Amino acid sequence: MSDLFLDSLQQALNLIFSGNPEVYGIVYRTIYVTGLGTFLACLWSIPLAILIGLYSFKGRWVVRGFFNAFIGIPTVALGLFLYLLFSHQGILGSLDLLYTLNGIAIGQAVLETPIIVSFVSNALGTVDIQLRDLARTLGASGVRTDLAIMRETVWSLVLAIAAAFNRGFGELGIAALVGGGLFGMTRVLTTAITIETNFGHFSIALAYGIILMSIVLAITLTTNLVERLKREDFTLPKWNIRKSATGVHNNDHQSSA
Amino acid sequence: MRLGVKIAIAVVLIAAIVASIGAYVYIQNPRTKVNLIVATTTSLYDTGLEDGNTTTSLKSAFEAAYPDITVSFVAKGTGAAIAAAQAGDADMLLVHSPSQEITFLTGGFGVDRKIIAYNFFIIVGPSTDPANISGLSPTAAMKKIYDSAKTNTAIQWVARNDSSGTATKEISLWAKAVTTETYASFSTNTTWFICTGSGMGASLLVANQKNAYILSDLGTYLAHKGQGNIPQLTVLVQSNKDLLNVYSAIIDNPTNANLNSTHFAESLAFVTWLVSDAGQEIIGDYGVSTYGQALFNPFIPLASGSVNNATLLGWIKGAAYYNSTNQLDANGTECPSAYRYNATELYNHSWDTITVSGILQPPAVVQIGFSQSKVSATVNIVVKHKRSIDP
Repeated sequence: MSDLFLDSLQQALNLIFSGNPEVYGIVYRTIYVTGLGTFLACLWSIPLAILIGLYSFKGRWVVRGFFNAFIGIPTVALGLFLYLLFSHQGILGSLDLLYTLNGIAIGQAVLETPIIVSFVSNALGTVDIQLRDLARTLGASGVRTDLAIMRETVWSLVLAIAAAFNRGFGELGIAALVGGGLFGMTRVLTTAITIETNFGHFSIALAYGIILMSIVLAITLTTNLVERLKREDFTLPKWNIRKSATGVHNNDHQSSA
Repeated sequence: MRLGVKIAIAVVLIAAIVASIGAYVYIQNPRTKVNLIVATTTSLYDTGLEDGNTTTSLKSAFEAAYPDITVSFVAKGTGAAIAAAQAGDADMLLVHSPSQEITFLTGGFGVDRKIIAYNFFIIVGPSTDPANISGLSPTAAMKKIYDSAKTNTAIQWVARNDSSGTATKEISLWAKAVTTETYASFSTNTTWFICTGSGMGASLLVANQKNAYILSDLGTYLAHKGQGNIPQLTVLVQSNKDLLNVYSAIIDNPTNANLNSTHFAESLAFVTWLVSDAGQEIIGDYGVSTYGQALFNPFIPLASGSVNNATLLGWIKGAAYYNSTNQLDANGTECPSAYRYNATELYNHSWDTITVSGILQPPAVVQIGFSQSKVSATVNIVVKHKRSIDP
């Protein structure tokens, strides 16, 4: 087993540095598809999250529960549902989205929506209600109030988007059923792993897996690192006397606007 | 401006730039090419014949010959592949289940069926062979497994049971082998019968893990064996008439209202190429250098007589030819004329030519009979001594 892993590690490095256009194509396609999907998801998820997080209405708890539950939707189930929708026999068949990258992107956008909505609306919910009233008394209109509050929670937003991106990056069901894994056209990292496994090329499949996890890890660590640096204002993690003097350690109100 | 906002803006800018470059590259890809989608079976796809290799695959050779067409393969079980073609999500089929294929034709979904290759299924199992089936005929072997498995816990059988061509063949073999109990019965209520519901490769791995017997196509078995993935399995039963595995191509029917967005002309070009000398050579050579053995046998050399094996040809005709009433019939044809569309060249090979030679003493009348399969034929009369001839 360790032989297989070492072999795969070597295969991974070979794949990355071999200049094989298909490998680069697969990696780039995955980034493009999930990037587009995350971008689309943000377009409708953030306004939705603001609505749910900051405005109370009848049945809000049901809506929140709905989005919380769908965070964990099995990608194969969603992929099947979208396949039936995008098929030529389905309602959206005329859009010709089946076996295309854009089809996968739309599917991943649907997948990521509950994640962004839930995370962001929860974060907004924790913002002090008095802050909103304060903003309003100072003359801010509805939307500007919301934006003012968003600024306080921008890091929750960044983390939610990173989490959504990672979920979409590593999902298989939608990429397989909607994308079809067509060589040179819609094959992304996850479907490449499946197909190479089916061919029996286990080392190459594992190598693709290593590449996938490395990218996810890089994104996650970078996001966390930047957030840490920002929070501590570029000081090293030593106890900062200035903070203790103010008595209040509030990580959202450090530097002046 | 606060640091957090600056960083956020920087991230968004970088993402936008990367996305723009990507969009530019994406748009630059020649999408004026027609993308032909072939729904195929996993056991055929997983051998790598179709697009697993950039030098010896069907895809690379065909696209080199036809630069304006991109051919993509979607691999599913035969049943799912046929469903995709019926829905119009694929332009044509490349499968190996004659019974399901004829239904596809008679349902008005397909036209121009063409047999392109054949090989044999094999029964593989543990080299210890606890049921002692080595060298038996397939039905005798399966009967022995069925009988011995009840008493010998070392004997197990793995089945795909996923409406694939292999599964269909296996079920028909079981029906011949075991007449005392239905397949539905012993496949579900027993501990020795394992159903994976998965593709050929995955099922072989399960059989390897459990030291079980399994029916496999030769191609997938050799491909996995050659890579050392199934060390416990070895070939026990092979090359029998019952184990014949025939691969055919069928094009989506363009006159079917639900399928008018499929690409008939490109599909016809691909099928024509598959049965041409170039295509048949690629099929016949596949796997020889990697596995020491061809994974597939091209059909045209056998059909045309350049490979001389009348018995084998008779087997294939008996297993995959149909007559005008859509029944299996060795005297029929690979595609009943009712389901042919705009493809006279496909069924008009030079080996359909009847050559009559001999010394004719006048008055001589040459009678040439056409069987049902001949749509047209060229008759060459070579005359050695010319007196007067009434044609």
